[in-house]
Amino acid sequence: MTPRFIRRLREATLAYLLILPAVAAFGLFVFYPLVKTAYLGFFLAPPFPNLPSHYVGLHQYGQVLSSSDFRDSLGRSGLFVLFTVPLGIIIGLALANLAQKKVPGIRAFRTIYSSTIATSVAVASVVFFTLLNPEVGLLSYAFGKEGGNGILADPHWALPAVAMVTIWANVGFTFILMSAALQSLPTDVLEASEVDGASSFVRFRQITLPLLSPIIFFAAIIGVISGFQAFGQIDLLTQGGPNNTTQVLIYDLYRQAFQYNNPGYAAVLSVALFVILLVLTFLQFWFFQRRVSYGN
Amino acid sequence: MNESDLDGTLGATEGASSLGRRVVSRRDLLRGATIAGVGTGLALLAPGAFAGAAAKFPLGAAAKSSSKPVQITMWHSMTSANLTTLTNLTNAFNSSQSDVHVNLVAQTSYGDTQTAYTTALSGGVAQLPDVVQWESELIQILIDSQSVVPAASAIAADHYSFSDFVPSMVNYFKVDGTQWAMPFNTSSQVLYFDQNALTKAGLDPSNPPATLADLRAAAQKIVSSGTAKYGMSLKLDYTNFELWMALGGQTVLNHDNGRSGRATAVTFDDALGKSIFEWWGAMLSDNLAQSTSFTTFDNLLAIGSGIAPIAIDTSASLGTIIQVLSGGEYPNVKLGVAPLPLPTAKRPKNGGTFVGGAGLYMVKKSTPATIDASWQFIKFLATPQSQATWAAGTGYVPVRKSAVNLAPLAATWAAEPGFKVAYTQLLASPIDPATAGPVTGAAPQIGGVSINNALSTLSSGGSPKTAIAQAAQNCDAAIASYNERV
Repeated sequence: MTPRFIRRLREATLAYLLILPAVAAFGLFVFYPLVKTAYLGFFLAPPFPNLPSHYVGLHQYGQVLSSSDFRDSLGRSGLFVLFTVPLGIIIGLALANLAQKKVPGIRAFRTIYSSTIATSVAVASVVFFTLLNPEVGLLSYAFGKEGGNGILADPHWALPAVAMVTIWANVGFTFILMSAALQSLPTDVLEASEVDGASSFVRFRQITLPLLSPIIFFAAIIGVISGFQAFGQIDLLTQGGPNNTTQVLIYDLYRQAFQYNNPGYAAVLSVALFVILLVLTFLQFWFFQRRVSYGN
Repeated sequence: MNESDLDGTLGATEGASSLGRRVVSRRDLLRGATIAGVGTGLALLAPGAFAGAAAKFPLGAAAKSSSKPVQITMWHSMTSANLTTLTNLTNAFNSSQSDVHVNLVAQTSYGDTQTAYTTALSGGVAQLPDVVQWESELIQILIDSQSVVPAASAIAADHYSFSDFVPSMVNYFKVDGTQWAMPFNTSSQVLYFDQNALTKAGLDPSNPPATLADLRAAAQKIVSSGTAKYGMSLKLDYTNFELWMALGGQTVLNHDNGRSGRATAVTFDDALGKSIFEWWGAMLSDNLAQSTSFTTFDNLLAIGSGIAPIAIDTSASLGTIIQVLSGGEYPNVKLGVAPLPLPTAKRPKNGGTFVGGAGLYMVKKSTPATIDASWQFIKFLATPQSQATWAAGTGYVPVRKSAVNLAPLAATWAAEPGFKVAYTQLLASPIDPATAGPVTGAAPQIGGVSINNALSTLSSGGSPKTAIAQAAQNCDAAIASYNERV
């Protein structure tokens, strides 16, 4: 054994030792539950954990994933993401641009725009639940919907209403992201374009936006993932109703697992959700990587 | 003493009531499957220690216990005034004797209790309570968990009499011939209305609508006279539909509402069911009623705001309503309470309402002493005096007939006769499969989801016939899926 080999061995041992805690933590809290969940999907699980499970192999996966319930709830999840992500980013970006203007009192506006980051989704939901209440809600009266079927009980408007609350709750986060990105933009490029006579719209379209693309990409990925996982606002505002029109994939999963005590079914749904998010994230990486400018 | 000791003690004595036998045979089949499927540790818990009513109940074990007082835990879902009353009753029990000490654990809601109980089942007996207050409509789920001792075994051993009980309340907790739980906090759906609004519309508030047809006629008068925007609120609540089926003498599920055997399909898609759906749909499409949410009390708020002066809700809300009204926010409202209107012109002989609320169950836990201690406490909560205190403090209806004449309930009812409506309604309910109420393990999917979904389509102009057929189809699928898993 050469001294060089021994040194390399030592280094490698140290390296493995250093990553061991992380591997152990991930293994215990991420990979083990993941494998266990996928495995649980092979069983027709009883409503109580002390009763026997029946092994059914891939049968349950096939049955659940080909059911119209699954297609419908997946469709609603997709729609929810479409409602929330693009609009959320546009509003966040617009507010961040406005807040860059150097006018008196702009700090107050910045505070207001970013304030929803301090609001939990539960608080936002309860506030809007009251505002949208058909008997006492101010927004219901503003929309001429007082009495009778409230907005949240209207099968056409329930999902958009939940999406609106989500956008409102998330706008503070997007605003802060976009503001931070705007402030770190290289001023020389923008000044050069101004000297060249570019209008503010052209500057925004041709320079600011491409420079912001990494952060928009980041916001889009985070938005899609959190959109698919949005649960609190749905549980608090509509409980999946009316007539299942807000029963997104994650809510169906919750119902199966905790209301109907059907862990096997829920396991299939969570594996499906995992695969969908994985594929979507890869697709976004692939798509944006060709368009995102990292400033080189 | 551990689980296996109990198994031995109880298994050795064979003194069965005929009630429990059928259950035992099914359980024994399951026991075989359980032992094959899961490890023995779980198997001991599952079909466990207390094999139905075949084993003799360990009556008196708490008093004979070597370490007294025997500590037991009760999980409940009571809040605010209900919690205070339960705590007072428990303290009274603890100080009245030295054999048993009860510790209350709050689980906030029936749903949370179910989740916590399910979780505890996978952790083994030590995490389970000794007594659990369990939502009435989820009874089949708890039976299927094979983790409770049927009340029938204690009743038989203790020669306990139900003669003073309201029959329909006791009968609700009887499945497949076995009394599983003791009724504790019971309620029923009643009609709430603003007497002043009815008078203004030219109706007689002392003669409130007694049938659904009356209700429609009253709503028409309220709307046409300009008294209110809507005649009434229709809360999206499957309970009303199920109660109307019962009042019309019809079952909701096959196999006698799941009482004579496991229900395999719904039976509500019949002439009566369709007529109720059609009535509901017409009330909404003719703008005589507004549809309100299942999870809120918008229907009751609408009485206060004057948008719709009639609503149907649980009698358990009455205490809160009176409290709100006495606050003076709605000075023009004079509350009236009436029985739930009938779906037909006349009540058939077998028609009546069943209870909402919860029952008390003894959990199959380690020692005979704790099981006996649980029974002693449950018995205490069911005494006429406890029930009089309980009903007066909470607004629930008493399960004992003699509680009605005891203080403090007698005075409460004299001051507010509205409290008596639900009791009278339940007392009039005959013993019949229809009035027993539906039991199935798929109850959460059937009521809160399938039937409520179908009713919600009526508010956007959906066809009642399609809606009820769709509900029946979804319910049948949910029942099949549940039955397949137990």
